[in-house]
Amino acid sequence: MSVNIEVDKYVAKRSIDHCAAFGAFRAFYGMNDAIVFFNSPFGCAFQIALTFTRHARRWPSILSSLVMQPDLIFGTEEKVKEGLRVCYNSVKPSVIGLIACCVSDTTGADLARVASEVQQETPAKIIAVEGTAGYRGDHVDGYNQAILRILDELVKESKEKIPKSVNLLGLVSDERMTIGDVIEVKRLLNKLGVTVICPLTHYTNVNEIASSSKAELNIVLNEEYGLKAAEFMQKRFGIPYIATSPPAGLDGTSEWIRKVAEHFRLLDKAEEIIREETIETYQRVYIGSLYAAGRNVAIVADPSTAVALTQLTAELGMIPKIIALKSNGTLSQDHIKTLAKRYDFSPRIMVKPDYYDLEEAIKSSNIEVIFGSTYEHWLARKLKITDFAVTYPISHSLPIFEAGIFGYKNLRYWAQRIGDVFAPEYLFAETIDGRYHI
Amino acid sequence: MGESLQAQKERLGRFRYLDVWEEVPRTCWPYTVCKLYGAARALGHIRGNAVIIHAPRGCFSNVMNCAFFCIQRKPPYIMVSTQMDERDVIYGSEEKLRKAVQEVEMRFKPDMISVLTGCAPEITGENVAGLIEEMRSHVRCPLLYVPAAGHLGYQHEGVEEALVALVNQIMEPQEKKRRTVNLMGHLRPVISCRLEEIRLLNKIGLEVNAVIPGDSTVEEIRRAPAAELNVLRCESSAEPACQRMEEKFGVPYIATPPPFGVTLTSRWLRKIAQFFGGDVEERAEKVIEEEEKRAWAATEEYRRFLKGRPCEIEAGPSRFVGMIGLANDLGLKVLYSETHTAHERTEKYLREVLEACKLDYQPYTARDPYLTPQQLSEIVRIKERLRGGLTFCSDGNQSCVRDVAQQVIMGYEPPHEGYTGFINFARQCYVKRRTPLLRYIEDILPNPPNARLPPIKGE
Repeated sequence: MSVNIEVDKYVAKRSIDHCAAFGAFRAFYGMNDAIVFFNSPFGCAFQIALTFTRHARRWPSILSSLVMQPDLIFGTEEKVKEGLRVCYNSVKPSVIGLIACCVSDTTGADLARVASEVQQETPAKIIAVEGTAGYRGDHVDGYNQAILRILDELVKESKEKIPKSVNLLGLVSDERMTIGDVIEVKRLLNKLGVTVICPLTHYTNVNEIASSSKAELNIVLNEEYGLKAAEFMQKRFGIPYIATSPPAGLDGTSEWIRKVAEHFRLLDKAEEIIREETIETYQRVYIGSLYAAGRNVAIVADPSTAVALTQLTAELGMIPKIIALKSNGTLSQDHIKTLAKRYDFSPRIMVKPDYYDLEEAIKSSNIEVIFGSTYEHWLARKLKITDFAVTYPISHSLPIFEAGIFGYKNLRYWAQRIGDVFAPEYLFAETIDGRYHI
Repeated sequence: MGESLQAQKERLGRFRYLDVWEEVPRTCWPYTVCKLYGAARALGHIRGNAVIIHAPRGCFSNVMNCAFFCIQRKPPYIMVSTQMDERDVIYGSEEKLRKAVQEVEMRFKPDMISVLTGCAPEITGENVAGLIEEMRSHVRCPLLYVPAAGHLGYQHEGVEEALVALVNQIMEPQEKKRRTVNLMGHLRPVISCRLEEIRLLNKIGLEVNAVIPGDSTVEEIRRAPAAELNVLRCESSAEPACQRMEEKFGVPYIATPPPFGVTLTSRWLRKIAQFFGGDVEERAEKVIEEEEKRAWAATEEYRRFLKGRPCEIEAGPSRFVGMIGLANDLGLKVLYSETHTAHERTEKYLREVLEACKLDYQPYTARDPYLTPQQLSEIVRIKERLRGGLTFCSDGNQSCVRDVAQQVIMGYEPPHEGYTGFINFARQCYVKRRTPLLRYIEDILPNPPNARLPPIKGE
């Protein structure tokens, strides 16, 4: 077992990450009744919105100050003030996320001051997120900046704690797998007798965020998106957190349940759930793994999703050969190393790779299955290999069924899906020429 | 894992602002894409061209996701970004760009390199033009530069500048090839979009010399002045390039509404044939007669079903005009049409189309992105009458989301050009309008107030 970690050194590359402003938008997108106001030219806001319409098949709630050349001379602040008033008067949201883009940060617009001025005339909570210019960081940085601002502004301190309650941190609502993940995680926690107060952020109400300080524990489901929020809440409200490897696959989910149960001293109940779920799952999953086993896999995703998919595919007997991470995620890299040791495979980890390099790596590694986005779908089409759409942006597949990656049920789902792709190869392996092709 | 109907209804209904979306004054409504998007779209699908986007990572990912994976539906050939960071903004990024150009030349060995700049380097006042000028003598291939900051302009301006740069810097004088045309301003690289046009032109005895810029090679662009005529396909962005070609290489151009639907396709063919005259014109009349017969016969059942249904059209400048003609040929009643960019030529096209289609009514057409609240409420009222009809729009048109509850959404899936496209589109409208699930969608999704109007006769 050997793990290669590669970071490219190109001056100009075809990157696979997104900008900080986009990340900040994602944090607000998961909130019910929130609207995002970009202090940007129309292009930034419209292009994000258009991609989202393809991805989520729904026009997202984005407005913009539509900065043009003259605004650079006279300043954008008045335009933002006017825009915020219009935004509230016409839409009446509960929260307005005011996000800075390159133009705003470079010209030094003081969005915090603008927000506090307009706040006096509007009942909606205006949350200004500054420093999210595209050149200041990637989508993960932007998400974290926004989520910290959301927590800072909306969470009310509470001494009262709800027994056996948790918050789920690090959720990115627009990711195709999030809805299935949350459903499954909530199901497992309910079985354990644990209540979820606030999923941050996934169809989250302002009230849920406000009362999130009543939780006894924070569970970080995606480390790159949730760890900073967990640290913040520990420091501010004294809520401890757990940030383990994500609950994917049989082993991964069982370990995760044990970890949560340990905190609440529910280990006996956890073992009972694990036994029951494992019996129900492994027999069914085993059939799928017969067709999946031995196939080389490439995974292109955010770090925690990549860890979850690595766990899931490795348990099905597949060989994760290439794992491309869209952001740094050092904890996730360690998790992958542990998994590689446990399941005996030697992955090539590419951190924020150049896409042309990634293409070459996939071509030369005899990959049979790719987990990724629409980018990888194109590659898969070109190479005539199977691909599954799991991460943003997805414009070639529809968001109809609520599938996820986490938990036992989603393992069954993936065993079925992967099995369905490869089972016909065995059934119809004998061709007209009479030769057996498997 | 399944969600209850009630839960689904609540989830879908949570975005209450979608119902009032129309009421958001467009002073803060991001209604179109930026100049960088246009320039990247025009240059990204030229084979052998390496595009360098000198901007932070967000501009690159936005252009990549939106322009290439949503609209163009094909990744660009070679496109990279310098991924400007905070240090570049503070200390300058000219050196980084210089290295990037050298690296791209070494790595991809392109036939041409195009540098596009985003907002950040334009605001900080980098002397990119000077750097490019200086580097031209050090690079083995042509080096194009398009300042494409989002705050400097719209998509069509980006396309416009990119195409003019191609005319000025890539095209070379050629010996004229008899009976050849260029299709100018075909942005989409998808072959099916232009296949029908090429088929029809071939049928009347003409050859297509180059389709610019969609999926052409640098060599094809170089040889473009060999054509006898340029046919303007996108009037809002390709006309300056046509004018420049006329000045520089003496290639005239014709501007006529795009070949959508039977009426406009025949008109388009006639206009081109008129330029060449003689047997081309005769052949064109024969082709038109034969093709029209085929198109009307193949769509008879669909037209009968669609006749009199209301529809709305939301699209970019030339498509929105063409779609009015197509919808009219299908027997649909265009209640409302909208485009995001107003252009003098588009307005001329609109008048031509209304005249050619002999429309006895004037569809309400919104062309100004800054509509007054009165105009907006009028649009909302018109849209309420669209129940049971069809919406033709691309993914970027906002109101489509609200209208899911009322209408059938039709994207611009290719091909819908020419006679074959008309048949294909008619079938699509028919099939999608007949989906039994439509009734359930109407019940589940939240309806805007006063949307429940009496059903259309015969339904």
